[in-house]
Amino acid sequence: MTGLEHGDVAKAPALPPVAGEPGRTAPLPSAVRLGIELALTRLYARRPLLSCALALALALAAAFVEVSAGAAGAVDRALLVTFRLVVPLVVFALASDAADRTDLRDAAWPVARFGASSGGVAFGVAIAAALAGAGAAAVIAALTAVAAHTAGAPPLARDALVSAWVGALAGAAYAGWFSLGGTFLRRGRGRLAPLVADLLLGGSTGVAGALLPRGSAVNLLGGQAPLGLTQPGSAWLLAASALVLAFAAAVRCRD
Amino acid sequence: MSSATSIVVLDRVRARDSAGVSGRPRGHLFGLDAALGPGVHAVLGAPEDGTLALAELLSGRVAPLAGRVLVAGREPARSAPTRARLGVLAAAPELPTAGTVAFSVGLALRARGEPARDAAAVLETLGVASLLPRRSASLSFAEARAIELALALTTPAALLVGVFEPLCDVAVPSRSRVQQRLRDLGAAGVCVVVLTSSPADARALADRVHVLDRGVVARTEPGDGERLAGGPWPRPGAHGVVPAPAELLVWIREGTAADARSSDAPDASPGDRGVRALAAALVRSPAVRALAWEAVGDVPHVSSLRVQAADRDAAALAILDAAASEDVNVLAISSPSPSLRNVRAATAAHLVAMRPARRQFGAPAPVQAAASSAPEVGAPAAAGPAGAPPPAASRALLGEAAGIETSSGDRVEAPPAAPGDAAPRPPEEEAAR
Repeated sequence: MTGLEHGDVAKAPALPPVAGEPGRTAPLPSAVRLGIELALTRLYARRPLLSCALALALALAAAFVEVSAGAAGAVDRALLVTFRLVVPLVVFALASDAADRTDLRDAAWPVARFGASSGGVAFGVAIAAALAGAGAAAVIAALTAVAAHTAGAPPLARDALVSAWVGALAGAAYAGWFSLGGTFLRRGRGRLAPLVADLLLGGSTGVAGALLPRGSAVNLLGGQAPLGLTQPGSAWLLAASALVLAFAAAVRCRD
Repeated sequence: MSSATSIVVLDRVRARDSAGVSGRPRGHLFGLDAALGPGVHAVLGAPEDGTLALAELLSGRVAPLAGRVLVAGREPARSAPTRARLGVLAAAPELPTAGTVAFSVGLALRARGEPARDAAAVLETLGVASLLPRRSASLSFAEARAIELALALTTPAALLVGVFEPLCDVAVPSRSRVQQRLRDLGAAGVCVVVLTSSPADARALADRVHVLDRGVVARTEPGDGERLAGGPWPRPGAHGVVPAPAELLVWIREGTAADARSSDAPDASPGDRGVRALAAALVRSPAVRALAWEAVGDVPHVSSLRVQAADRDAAALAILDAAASEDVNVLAISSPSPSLRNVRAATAAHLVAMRPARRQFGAPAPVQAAASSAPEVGAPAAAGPAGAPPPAASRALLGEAAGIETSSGDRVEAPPAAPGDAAPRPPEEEAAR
């Protein structure tokens, strides 16, 4: 119950006049900002934070296992595990939560129904998912590098910074893929497709490895380069795919 | 209504909702055509008739599977500026997810181009501003709907206000304020569409009631609802569908009227000089089709008599005549709102009456004279003179005989009609002979 007294009604001010100023809606930049705010409020909840904590625990456990298995190359092996499994899963969880576990158009609807551009709000949601994914992946990658650090490894600070940078790029690219996937099928179940594709084909050195984030991330970490891409090329590819895919998702949700 | 003055146009719309289990459709719209202008329109029907699908279409949440939905010439599903001028109360709350109600309402206001600081003023219009500091997750279903309703009713420069069950499951302190606001909006030239399954709400709110029956608007009635449950008399031979009767509820004080005037409280059991006497008198009245009575549980010495009749006014007069002749103290006569079931039955009768009469194979076509003398659909010709009850033949056609039905289910048949009381045959029957 509201706990409202009937006296409140008498004290309530008169309703505004039924005619008002027509034609005022949120412009596109405002719609994008509203989408970002909407998604961030969804991400500032118990479940996304729990997902991040769980992913961090998994990455740290992998790092300790690798260190105990052998000091030589422990950082590389721990980061490979993190980028192969932990980063895609945690970004998938964050992108789903940013979209309220439904498809992107429905995720934008609570704000778009009041007159904001549906595509603009969806772009904001995708941007927020990319930011959250990048941040979470960067933190997890950096902490993994720190946890797996051994005496024979490169300098700790540089290793952690590079890992965080690669993690941020990969996280944003994953979020772009999941946002685009979230525009397909009912309740956004299409975002499962890039996750499965990355798990199955992301390690290849062919076209699939170049398109999917894992191949480029592994290249940036010093692994095999898909299609012979240079490391700057892979970095640009990851950044561009994050933006382009988020934009494509917004286009699919436009009015 | 001409499309020139229409705000909302539905052009051969096919749609379905996704409100069923696992997103399955619960109701459909099949080629719905409608043109709604300024004023308050009630769309009366159950979700299975397509009210949820219609609500989603009007809000712009989905586009129709086929056909067009236009609000002021634009499709709300594809036009954000049009959506900014729609006030919508959905079946389930769809407020922006946010920590507090204030932030959530602020997001909504900013989306429609208003400053977020107006949140308190918007909610105060319905007296629900005390919800602002609450967490969104702590709101009940009805409280969240109340906030949405406040947002819908304060839409700036509204074109269309589409509200789903605005008087049900809405935690507002005063429903009359909601009713008044909807009427004000309608009077100011806004197209207000109230989607409801309650005939009482439809009658209370609307200027016109559109009965949505299995995906199409089957008929439109004035908002007074007088004819909602009373369909036209079916033409003789028109499949024999019975229109739902009008119903009156009579409150009776047991004992004679003289007892009531005296200071002594009557110590009469139900029926001594009250409801039984009135029922016995009414059963002889041709205006009455069926009766049922029961004692009112909470109030001593008061009974209620439910009267079914083809003609509401004739039945009311018959009740007053019977009460005067039997010296029965009638406290009140009310006309209860018909149930949705009654409205559906009347709609079925209406549809049957509108359908051309089926001619038997090989039978000669009716002559022109007979056709011209056939009663108009809905005209009281079959029911006798205007305001008069239907003749016995029509009552037999309707499959109803006047009788008394007690609260225990006993039914006392009315005395048979006198031989000379035979009703004239309907014109079509005469023509067939």
